[in-house]
Amino acid sequence: MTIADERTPVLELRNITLHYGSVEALHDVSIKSYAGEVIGLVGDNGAGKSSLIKVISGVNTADSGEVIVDGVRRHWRSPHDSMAAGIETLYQDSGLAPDLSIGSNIFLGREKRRSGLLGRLGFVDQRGMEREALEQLARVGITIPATQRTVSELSGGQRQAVAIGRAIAWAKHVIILDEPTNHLGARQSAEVLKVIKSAREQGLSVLFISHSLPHVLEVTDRIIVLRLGRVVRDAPTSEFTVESLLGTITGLNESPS
Amino acid sequence: MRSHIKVFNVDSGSSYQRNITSWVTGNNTQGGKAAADALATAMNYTKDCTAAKKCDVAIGVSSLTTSTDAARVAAFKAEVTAKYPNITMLNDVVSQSQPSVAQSAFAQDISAHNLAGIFAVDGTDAEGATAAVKAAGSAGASIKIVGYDGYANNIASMVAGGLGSLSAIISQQPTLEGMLIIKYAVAALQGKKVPHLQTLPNITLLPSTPASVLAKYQYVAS
Amino acid sequence: MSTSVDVSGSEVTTDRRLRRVVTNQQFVLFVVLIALILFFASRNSLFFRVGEFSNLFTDFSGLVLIALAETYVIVAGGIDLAVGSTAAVSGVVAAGWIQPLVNHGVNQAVVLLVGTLACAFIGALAGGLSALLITAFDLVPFVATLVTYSVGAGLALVISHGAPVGYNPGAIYWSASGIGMITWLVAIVLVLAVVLGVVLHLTVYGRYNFAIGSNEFAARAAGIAVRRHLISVYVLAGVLAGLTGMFFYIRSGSGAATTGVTNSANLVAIAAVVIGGASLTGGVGRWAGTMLGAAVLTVVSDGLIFINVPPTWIQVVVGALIAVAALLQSFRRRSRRVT
Ligand SMILES: Nc1ncnc2c1ncn2[C@@H]1O[C@H](COP(=O)(O)OP(=O)(O)OP(=O)(O)O)[C@@H](O)[C@H]1O
Ligand SMILES: [Mg+2]
Repeated sequence: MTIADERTPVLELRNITLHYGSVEALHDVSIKSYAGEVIGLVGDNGAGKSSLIKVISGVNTADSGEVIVDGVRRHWRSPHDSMAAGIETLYQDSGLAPDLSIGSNIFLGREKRRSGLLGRLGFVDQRGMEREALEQLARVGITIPATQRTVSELSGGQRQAVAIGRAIAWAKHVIILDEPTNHLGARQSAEVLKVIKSAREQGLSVLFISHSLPHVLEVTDRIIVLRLGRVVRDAPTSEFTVESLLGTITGLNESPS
Repeated sequence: MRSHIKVFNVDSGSSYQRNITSWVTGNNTQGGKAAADALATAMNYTKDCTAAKKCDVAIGVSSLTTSTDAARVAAFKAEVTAKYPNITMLNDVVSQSQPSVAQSAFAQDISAHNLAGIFAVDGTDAEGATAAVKAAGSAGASIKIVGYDGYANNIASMVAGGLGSLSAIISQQPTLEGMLIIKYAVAALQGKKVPHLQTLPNITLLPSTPASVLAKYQYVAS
Repeated sequence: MSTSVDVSGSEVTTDRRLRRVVTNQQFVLFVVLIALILFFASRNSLFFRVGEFSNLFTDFSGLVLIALAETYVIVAGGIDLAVGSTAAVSGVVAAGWIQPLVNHGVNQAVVLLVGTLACAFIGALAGGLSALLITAFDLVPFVATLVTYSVGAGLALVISHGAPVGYNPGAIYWSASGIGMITWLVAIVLVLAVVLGVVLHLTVYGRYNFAIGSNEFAARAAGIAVRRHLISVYVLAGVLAGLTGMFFYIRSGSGAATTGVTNSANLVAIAAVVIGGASLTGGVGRWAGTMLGAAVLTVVSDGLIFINVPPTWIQVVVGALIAVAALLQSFRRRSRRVT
């Protein structure tokens, strides 16, 4: 296919199968993603997109198949392991704790501790976290005047921005965005696409899930189409138009893969 | 609807009492009166309680709806009203069968009033009353307690004497009650006529009661 | 590039700040507490004495540990109905274990220390049972802790035969010793309560507790070991209930199977937490709120006895109090949505 094959993928999935009880959500799914590449993951409702990224992030464990990061086969015992490996995920169903402050959410699961004995006793450095949260968000282009307020006091779009900011701020290798433009107006959506492009420039591998096909076509390098838990097409974005992509998703025009 | 199962009852009764073949219980009315007399004696009523300086008495019950508690308290109150007009009775303390609840409530009564006596209507309340008076220290020094039921702890507290000890225990006759009801049950099943209700008098146990007698009335945990 | 998140109201006006203080649950509770104390004192001036405050502190201590246990559990999105019977079973078992020491005249400090460890151990077992049912068998906390409640209450009765266990007047005398209105026993409980507050609000452990109760998925997705944390929370609640059992043993000099059961101590503790402003759906709750909630409940139930109100009315008043607190909370939530 492309020259990309000669490099080691940052992230590779091989033959992933996943069941929820008797429902088969993923069937023999294999994908590769490379540094500095944006992949679009598309498919109808229930096609298995969210299930796939939950396998990558360690929320779900596949029934069979392999997760390989930087050429090394990995096994996640919890999302903690994937985070430690530099993979950040923005979940479709909110990954924020609404009753905690914005700052606490940015640092959720990796709380900054106070220095010295207090830190070893588990005391959190709340002020430090609020300050750094501001900086981290600003670094990825999200400005907020105060991080002490709880997330429940924000609008849906504001929450989404905080969640994106958190994922981008912490990502080292791979960033997964499951419908990040949900709840966002046109202007904010455009900002998110800019954020994705800048992540690519920083050399991150981006997995972008969206139902907005123009967005996918605008920002991605390659598109993977899922249908009923299977990969039905994996091709460079340049090979698609909105119409052909829609046909592939719905299965109405079976173009050769 | 009446079934053919014969029911025999000891101690506390229920509202279905008329369907019971035989019921043996302590005489709670007599017991309540005996408690009033024992408490008045312990408080030195004739000398220390006057119309000018009335004596406050707290009453502890486990539940306001238990028949035994209600009967004992009613008799106690009637006796006090009739014979000891210089005693003021406070509102009942309800322990819900819990010594610590009784203890907290008695502690309130001790600090709110110039308490001279406590009538603890059962073992639980006696346990709470003795602990409350002990914990009150000097504030409880002159408080007399009359308890009910010969629990081991109550008898030990009475015998030990000193702060927060029981001045008297009104005791049922559990051994006799049990023996009687078995006798009646056997007789009733053989078709003989048995008394529908038999009440046994309660005994007043005092610190001066000989140990052998105390042992006879001590309740034994099964 | 600026995906600008504008969080409105970042400049707080004085007027607004004042309104926030007045609708603040802790502030309201504090005012209510002071008003209650003044009311009872106005009905009977003896209320304002060191001895009575000592009584109040003692009764507060019997409630506060299980109320804080309940705070941890409720903030984590659960509920624990077992705290009362766990206190009962710990108290009677430990009372039985340490009575031989009492009989042999062993130093009271040693006796009580052994009893305390025993109670903590039995409480941990009870909490462990709840945790097992919740995390391994996927029972909802309400049902799981109801099972533990029944097992504990039943065992306490079986072990004690319904009679008080042990006889240790020395413990009662020690429970009454201390400085001014604070007994040693109360001082120990208060120190423990402060530690629990610090852990809840200032440490990573406490932060995870809020995160899990606020959004369990988010907590798990953020790499928090949710299951392990929940196990630890129920065990902690069990230990605190066990220590409460020991508290009542020391106070009364014996253990009773009815302690914490017949007065529905579990519901009183939950009431303290709710009055304190916590949300039963998890994620929201404050140490100070629970402390004040427990204090208000203690002052009301003690004060009503103090001014010689008939016992039947006391439950009605306490019920009304909980209703008012719940109303206040929903009013506050609504007013926040408006601003
Ligand atoms: N927790 C779950 N338990 C049981 N079945 C599930 C669960 N999550 C997803 N499924 C099922 O797995 C299949 C794939 O769901 P998934 O959420 O991965 O779809 P999706 O492609 O993300 O859809 P959408 O575009 O609507 O977000 C669906 O049939 C769905 O019903
Ligand atoms: Mg999805």
